[in-house]
Formats: sequence, C-alpha cells, structure tokens
Amino acid sequence: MRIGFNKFKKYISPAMMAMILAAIISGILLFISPIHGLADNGDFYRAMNSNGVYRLPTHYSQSLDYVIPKFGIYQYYNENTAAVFTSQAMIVKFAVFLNKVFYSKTIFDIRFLAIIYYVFFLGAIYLLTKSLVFPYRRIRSYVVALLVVFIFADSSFTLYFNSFFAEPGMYIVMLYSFASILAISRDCFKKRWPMILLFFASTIFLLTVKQQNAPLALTFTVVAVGLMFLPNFKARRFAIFGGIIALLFAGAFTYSKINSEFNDVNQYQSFTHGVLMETGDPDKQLSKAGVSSQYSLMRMQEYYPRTYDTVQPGSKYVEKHLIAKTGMGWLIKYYLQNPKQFVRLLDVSTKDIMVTQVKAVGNFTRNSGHKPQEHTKYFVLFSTYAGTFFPNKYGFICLYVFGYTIVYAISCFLDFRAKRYQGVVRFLLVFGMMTIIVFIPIISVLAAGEADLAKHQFIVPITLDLTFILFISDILHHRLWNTKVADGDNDEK
Amino acid sequence: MMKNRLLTYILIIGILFSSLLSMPTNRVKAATQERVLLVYDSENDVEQSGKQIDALQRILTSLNLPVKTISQNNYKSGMLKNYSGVITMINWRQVGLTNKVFIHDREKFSGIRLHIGDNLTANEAAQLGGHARRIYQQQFILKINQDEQLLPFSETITVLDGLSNQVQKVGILATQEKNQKSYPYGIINGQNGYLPYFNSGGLSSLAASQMIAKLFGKNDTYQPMLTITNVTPYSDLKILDALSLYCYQKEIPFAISASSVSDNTQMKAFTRYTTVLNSIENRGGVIFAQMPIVGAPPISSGSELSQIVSSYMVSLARENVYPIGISSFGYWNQDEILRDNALKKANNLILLPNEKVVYVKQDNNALSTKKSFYAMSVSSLNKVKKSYDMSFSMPTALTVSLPDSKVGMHDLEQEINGLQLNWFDPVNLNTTVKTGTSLMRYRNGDYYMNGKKEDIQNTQNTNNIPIFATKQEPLFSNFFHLQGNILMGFFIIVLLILIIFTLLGRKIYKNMFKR
Repeated sequence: MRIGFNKFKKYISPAMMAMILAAIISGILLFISPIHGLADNGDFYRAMNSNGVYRLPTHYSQSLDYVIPKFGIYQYYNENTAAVFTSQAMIVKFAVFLNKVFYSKTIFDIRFLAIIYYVFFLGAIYLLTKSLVFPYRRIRSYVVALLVVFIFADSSFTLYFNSFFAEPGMYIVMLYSFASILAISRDCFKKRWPMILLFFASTIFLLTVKQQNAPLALTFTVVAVGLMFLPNFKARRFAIFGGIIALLFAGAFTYSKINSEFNDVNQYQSFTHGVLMETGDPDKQLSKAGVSSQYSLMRMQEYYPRTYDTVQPGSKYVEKHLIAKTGMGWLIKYYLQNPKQFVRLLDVSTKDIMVTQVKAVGNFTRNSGHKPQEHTKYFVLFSTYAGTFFPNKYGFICLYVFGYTIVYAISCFLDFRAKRYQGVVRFLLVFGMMTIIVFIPIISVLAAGEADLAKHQFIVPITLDLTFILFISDILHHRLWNTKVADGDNDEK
Repeated sequence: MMKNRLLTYILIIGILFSSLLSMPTNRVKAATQERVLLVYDSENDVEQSGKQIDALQRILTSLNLPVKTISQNNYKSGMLKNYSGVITMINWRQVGLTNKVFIHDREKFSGIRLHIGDNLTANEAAQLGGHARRIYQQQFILKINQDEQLLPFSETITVLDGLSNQVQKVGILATQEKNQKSYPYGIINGQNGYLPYFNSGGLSSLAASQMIAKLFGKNDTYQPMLTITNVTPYSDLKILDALSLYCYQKEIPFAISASSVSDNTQMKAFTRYTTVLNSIENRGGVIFAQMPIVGAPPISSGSELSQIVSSYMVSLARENVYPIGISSFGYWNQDEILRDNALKKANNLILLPNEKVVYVKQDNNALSTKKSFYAMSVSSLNKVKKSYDMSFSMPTALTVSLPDSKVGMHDLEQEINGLQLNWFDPVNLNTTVKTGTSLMRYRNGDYYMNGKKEDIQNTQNTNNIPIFATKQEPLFSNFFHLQGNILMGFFIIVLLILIIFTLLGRKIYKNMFKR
C-alpha cells in the first residue's frame, strides 16, 4: 500500500492530479455534446456585437431558456462599438480568430470561447494546488488537491465558460492572482519573476474586465506591498513599485470608463433598491435628507422598466430632481443617519453570498430534451452545500474576517521577527482577500442597493473559497504559524 | 304587350322609389361606419414626418373618424373598397407616390379624397377644379377667420389657380409683398380636398383641422380645454396646488393629465398626492389619468397593463379622486395592446403628441371614441394673432406643462392670463371609466362610483399602513436563518476561546523565560 502510494506520488504530483480531474470533470460538462453552459440573460450583446458576433435569426426567443451553441460572425464592416470597456474583448476576439482558423468563417461555435477559458482554468488549478501544498506530497496534500477540484471545478463556475459573460475571465485571473502570490511566498519556483509578472498581468486583467472591479485596485495594492518584503535588490524593488502604480492606474482607468448612463442606472437602483428598502415608510428619512419624499413611491422600480412605469427614470425631470441629488456622498450620509437600515441591507446582501449558481437562466441546449431554464445537477455539490449552509449574516462575515486575520497575523508577526518573508507575504495576501470580503458587500449596497447582488458580489464567494482552502491546507500541513519547512519534509527535492 | 310595358314601368318606378326611400338610411349607416384610410409615401425622418402623421391621426380621431394608416408600400389592390374616405399624405416630395396600384384605385374611388402635401397630379388638380402652380421661396401669412400667423419660410409650395366659385376655400396664404398676392390654403370641391402642407402645431393645424372637418361634413365648433400636463406623483405638489388655486381664482376651468402609481399606494407620499388632486377636483378641475410610460413589454403584457390601469383608478378612488378619462400619447391608439387594455376603458380621451414611441403590437388601426381631445401646446399658438372666439373644429386640449420652479410658475401664470380665450368647462362632460368591477361616471360636475354619488369634499384618506419592504425570501429561509444564527453563535464562542488561549499561551511562553 505504502509502496503503491510512493510510486503514485513519484509520477503524479497533487497539482497534476487536481488538473487531470478538473480537466475530465469540466471537459465532459463543456465539450461533450449536448453541451452545457449559461443561457443569455440579455447581456450577451455587450460582448458579442462589438467583437463581430451576432445572434443567428431563429423563430424562438434566444434568451433565458436555453444555451445557444452557434452564432454568426459578421462578414463585413462592423459598426458596433463596445458598449462598455472590458478586457474580455481580447478573449472573445481570440476565440473568434481560433474559430475562423479551425472551424468556420461564418458560424461561431461557443465552445471556442470555452476552450480558451478551459486551458487557462486548468493552468490556474495546477498552480493553485501546487502553491497550496508545495513542497509536500503527503496523503494530506492529495486530500487538498481533491478539495481544490471539489470546490473550484464546481459546475456553477465552469458553466460560465460556455457563455459571453465576463465572469469566467474574472474567476480564472482571480485564481492566478491568488496562486501566484502564494507560490512566491512558498518559493515554488526557483525564479520569482515569472510569478511576479503573472500576478501583475492577471490582476490588471481582473481590474479591467468589469467596471465594478475598479475598487479592487486598492486591495491588490495591499497584496503587492507584500512583494516588497522579498529579498530584493534595488532594480526589482523599483519594478514592483512600477507594478503597483500600474495596478492603481488600471483601477482608475476602469473607473473613469464607467459612462454617465451606467452611473445613472446604478445611482437610481441604489436609491430604489437600497435607500427605500428594508424599512417602513421612508417618508421622514427622505425629507430629512433633503430629497422630496414623493420619491418614496419609486420603491423597487427599475431604471429600465420591463413593462410599464409611472415616469421614465432616465427623463430630465428625474435626472434633475433625484439622480443629481443622490450621489455617493448623499448615500453615505443617508446611511450614516440610518445605520440600522444599512445593516439590514448588508444582511440581505450577504444572505445569498455563497450561491454561485446562476438561477435565472437555463444550462441546457434546446435539443437536449430538458425543460427550459432547467439547471444541471452535475458536480454542483459544493456550491449547493455552501450556498445553503453558509451563515447569512453580515456579522458572521465580519467575525470570519476578524478571526482569520488574527490567525494569519500571528504567523506574520513571528516571521517578521525572524526576518522571514513567507509569513509576511502570505498575511498581506490574506489581508487583501479579507478587505474584499468585508468591503464588496458594502460597496455593492452603496452602488446598487439590493439589485443584481449576485452579479456585484461574484468575487466574494471566490475569495471566501480561496481563503477557506488556504486555511484547510495550512492546517493539514501544520504550517499555520510555522512557515519554515524542515529539511527532511521537502518532498520536491 | 302594353300590359307588359306598364308592368315594367311600374317595376322601374317602384325600384327607383324604394331606392330613394332607402338612401337616407344608407347614408346614416355610412356615417356611423365612416372609416378613413391614410396612406403616406414615406416616414421621412429628416423632416420628422412621424410627428405630422401622429398629429393627423389624432385630429381624425378627435373628429370621430376611425383611421387606418399604412405606408404606400403596404397598399394592396382593392383595399380602398372598405373605406369611405382616403387621405394621401406626401412627406418626401422627391419620392412621392410610387405605388401604381394605389394611384389607380384612388382614381376610381368614389368616396372622399384628400391630398396633403406636394406632388399633386394633373388629374387631382382637375378634380379639384383648378390647375396646380408651384411657388418658390416665399414666406406666407396664414389667415383664417380673424386669426393669423406668419409661417416659416417655405422653399416650394403648390397652390391651385383658376378655381371656380363653387369651390370652398378654407384660409388664405398671403404673401408679404406690397401688392399682396393671396392663395387659398385648404380647398374643397365636392368630395375632393387639398391641403398644400400640414403642420402639427400653430394656426396651420387649426386651419387644417377645420378644412378636414368641413370635407367630412363635421360642422361643429368647440372651445379649447386648458390642460395641465406632466403631473406626476413626483411633481412639486406645492406648485401644482398653487397653479390650481390660481385657475380657480381666475375662474378658468381646467383639466389635468396626471399619472399615478400602481404600487406603494399605502405610503404617505401617495396620500399627499391624492390630497392635492382632490382639492383640484374641488376647485373645478377634472382629472384625466395619464397612462404609464412603456418600457419593453412583451405582447403578452396586455393583462398586466389592464391591471395597472385598474389599480390606478381604484387606488385613486379610494382616496376620493375620480379620473373622468384617460390621457395618453397618440400612438397608444395605434397599438392593439395599448388601446384594448387601456384606452378602451374610458370614453373620454386626451391624445397627447408622441414623445418616446415604444409599440407593443402596432396595428395602426385607430378607433374613435365618444370624445377625444386633440392636445396641442399653448406655446404653439404663441405666434398666432388670436381673437377671443378663436374656433376649434374638434375637441381640443391646449396644454401647459406643470413647471418645476417658482419662476416657471410665475411665467405660466402670465401666459395663461395673456391667453384671452373662451375656455371649455369640463363640467359639460359626460363620461364613464370602466375598469374591472368598478364603473366611474361623471356628469353635470358630479362623480358617481358604481352608480352611487360620491361626495368629493369629504376627504376620506385611508390610514396609511407603512409596509416594510424586503427582498422576497425562498422557502425554508427561516430554517437557514436559525441555522445561520446558531453557526454564528458557535463561531463567536470558538473565537473567544481562541483569543483566550492565545493570550494564555503567550503568558506561559513569556513565563518560560522569566525564571
């Protein structure tokens, strides 16, 4: 038995095992016909039109119910400009290019998009597992590898690959950002610069892929500061400093690209789905805050009304008398005056924070014999479990963050005194992740109230999963507070 | 032989006589079933012809003429048979009419024919009893009755010359030169009519409507109704109150086109709104329920719309506000879903000029109702030299938009005061609004709900029960809520123990060195 395991571990590292398992599990889901994915919720056009892909005409509606596997490719000049600035465009363009080379110049198969994500995703799984367990190849290391597959190859994440959503790119680069820093803190590779480069490249991609990620620039600056603790010479320190500036610039750039209409939409929704919610009649609060309390009648209205509404939220009148008055400053002031309501909003926002499966759209293709908007049950155990049992209070999240930070601060303190960088880099990584978990719910409540919570907080469950697996792995490998690897313990030498 | 001939004579006389007898009844039938086909050449977006088409449709509706509108491309042979009148509207003279089938059918058509715009054919001119003449680069003054207006500069216009005395002329286009030349504006010769141009605002629209009314044999005149538009629950209610008080004190009867909400009607803000609306009713104003704006509803949204409108009426009535009709943009009457589920609930309408047009199921099959007011803004009459008894050929609502500032309010008061018009008093209206199970009627200034007369002075504001709004929760959420709390408690305890242990451990660790 022991000999067998020794042979196994000689040829297949935990990282390799995780990657192979993830490849099989998600490969079946994504590429074996009938394929699985996410149907269009009406947002696909943003990523499609400006990149030369369009919906083929059909006699049925192409949104919500079923995954559409085939699209058309524009043959002539494409007059559509990008509706929103996003680095996702690179990926879609690359997928279209691959499609043209290997498949067809006129018909686009969504799987070409998935395959790009798939390749990068498998790399991320490999790197993540390796950085988590390095330099061990114990049974517990393989347990961690299995957990990585169980958590991160969950269909609720990988289904995104067969879609035009921007989330899969975000998911994958988040894994890379996290894993690269962890790999540096554990000296996985002899040379550090490829990992440092990977960290900055993937983080800049993350900051530019969705506009709501702009504030994360601050988080990753904190993480990047950890790199300063590496045994450095001047030139490298300077390069890292340059990288940090690039991160901040990327965040600011993305933020500046948020157009005014997008701003109005969010501001309006944060009023109708935030300020007016989780309270009785907000009449008095509104007039106290200097906004006509008549606007309380707008409770739960959408900026783009689906069917019928009393007034057009985009009209000049509403713009002048409501939206122009209720900026971020006003919102913060309002919530400071009504802290109870704000806490209730935060509780609502964290209620479903671990629910990563998209419930609004179907996972199957039309000819697969499944009902419209049906969801797959394939490999979703973790997301279902976490989505159901994760405590639904913002207070819990704060506690989690508090405890978690203390645990890792201790090792940081110990390593700092012993002049080792491992614990310090890891702590700053963890600390950065904690700021995401604490602040993203606050930001999303401020930005859009209770509307589109899952979309705004997509990064939070990923972060929670990452910190969760890090904790498990550190416990199992007995290095929560002792980052030093004894000479005899290193299995990779 | 003789007998046979006599029989034939009697038969012929009998047939003639009976046809003479039946003719008037036929006419009556024709009058009730009068339908008009409006055929336009193109929707010339450069010239905003959509606006003109909308205005023409609303005028026809106000004249109680149901109108079907089509583009010439959609005209199929024989379609005209089902109509008693046809209107040709040229919006793009460089293109004009290209559908030969339509031109042919129109030549043969025996009903009322009206041509609006350029490209009058020689045949048409002959039927009108004159010959067409093109006039270039002129600025005309339009005169009708005692009113006149200086028109904008026109590049080219086709007028008719050499008209006989039998031809009726409506309005005059006069040049500004010293030896003023003048040409008729609207021309009616029997069943044929001609308007050299059409404009949705100003005196032109009034002249056009007068001409159309005459052509279709409608000779009533109406006084305009002052109508305050853009009244929403989000409007500045103080200004609305002040404006209605101003009209009351100046003894100007008026109507308001007020939108409402279908949700959140238990809130204080709603009561504040209805209180103002109620006092408007008590000041001689009447309320037309303004229809909601249209987002992007599916065709199946008809029942939802119907519910929204019912909910408007019911929630307003609960607070002693009784809308007497419905106001909407003109295109609502051109849409099957919007018309059937909203407009048909009332028999008195105000049709406003289109703003943002979102069709649900466009059918361009406008219906006429008991009374529909053609809305035009007061400001569009600013350039008209008006007389006190300015006459309108159809029910007309002269609209002013509710201002949102005191300065705007002051300006508006000046404007209303400056309009020396003989206003229509809505007390003369006799209306019904039928939604769901409720029937609201208005007659002689009294309001009836399901047959029972309502006392609008008795404000009966229902007590507000503030409703706590929260996101809808899934099943079992309570269980998981509890489980969440338990887990949280557990976590707090573990954390406390952890902190205590850490502190203790540190103490022990330190003590190890203290010895």
